[in-house]
Amino acid sequence: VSVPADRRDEILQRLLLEESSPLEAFDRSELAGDAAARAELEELLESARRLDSLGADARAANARGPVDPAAEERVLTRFREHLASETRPRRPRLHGGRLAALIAACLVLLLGVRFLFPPSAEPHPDTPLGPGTHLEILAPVGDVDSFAEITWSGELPSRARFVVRVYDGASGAELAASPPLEENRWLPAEETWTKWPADIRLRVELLGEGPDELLARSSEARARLSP
Amino acid sequence: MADSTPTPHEDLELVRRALGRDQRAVQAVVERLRCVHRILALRNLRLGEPFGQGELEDIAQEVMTAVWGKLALYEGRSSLDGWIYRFAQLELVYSLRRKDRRLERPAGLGQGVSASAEEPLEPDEAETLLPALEELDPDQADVLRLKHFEDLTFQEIGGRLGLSSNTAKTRYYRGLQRLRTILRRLRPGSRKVKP
Repeated sequence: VSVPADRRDEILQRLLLEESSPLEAFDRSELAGDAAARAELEELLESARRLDSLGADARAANARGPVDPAAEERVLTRFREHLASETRPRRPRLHGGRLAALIAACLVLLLGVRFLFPPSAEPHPDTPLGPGTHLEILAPVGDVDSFAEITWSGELPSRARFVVRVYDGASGAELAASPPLEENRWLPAEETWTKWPADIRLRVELLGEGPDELLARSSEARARLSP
Repeated sequence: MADSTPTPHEDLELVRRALGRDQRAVQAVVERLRCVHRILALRNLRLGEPFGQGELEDIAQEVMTAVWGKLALYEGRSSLDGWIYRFAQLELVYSLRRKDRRLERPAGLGQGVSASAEEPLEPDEAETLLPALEELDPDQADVLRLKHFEDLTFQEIGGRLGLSSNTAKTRYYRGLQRLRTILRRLRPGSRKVKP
């Protein structure tokens, strides 16, 4: 009996992720007798095993002490020197009159460009950028029992990401920021949100592809843990 | 994970401060780059030491410089160490291929794994798997990395990426399916060597 493709994937996913002995479970499943599906499951298990092996290697490399402490220190010192040489201020090559003339020329050029191409009104970060991007924190707002789940409204344009920022309700100091998110929900780790004060303020931002490219920002919401 | 291990979220904050030239953060990120030489040295050992000490230190400098130049791309989806690990392993893979070409040897050195290696991997495991992971849709690759490199549950992965655990499972399954297809293509005999 042929199993529809969607159902087949559903079964393979369940066998792969939820069974302790996927191949034995396969032989008891609707797909039993389908040699191609069994071969596919075997390959998926093999790929997962190889990833596990590489992952264990990565964790071991990070957890392990230095293989060659002297070489490690040498490499780090060399890199610090490289960074320092990059950030060291360079000696100006232009002097006096030539520098002033260059600055004046740049100013004239800049004024000319602004005259020819007047800047369009830039969206204020607090202003939603059109339909579908209105951002508003939905929870937690007001008196709440926990900060375990943060949700908000607003659609995600392609290639954009949400970031939630949490501030101290009293001082306004930033306490935390979420990683870039694709869904309208953030579940901060319990050990994170339980360290926040009882009174917080939150806002959600819509970031574009570039670093720190802010597309829109919600107004601040305030939430307090009920005593 | 030990309590002292920073979360990716804390790593992201650290990176942001370093990019803002906060000197303490800069020094902290440099200190985190200490793992680069460690990762390269360990892998070099397992591959039968194709690179000498000087060459390995040069590769470490290249990796650290590349990582520093791309810090703005770090999104806090995985730990900073995991993110650095990807750079280090991939750079070693590409350096091996460059060396292979220079010596006119087939890609995939390291047929003799060092006797001192513990649990040696197949010599070309990282060489095959890491570039294959790079070919995946980034959303799928993130889930696979978090699952196998950071050993997270699907619930934890969902929390980390702002997804439900069911969505994380579906992405994982689709990612693994896609990886299987790529690995088939990369099998010896059908393998393409690219720089």
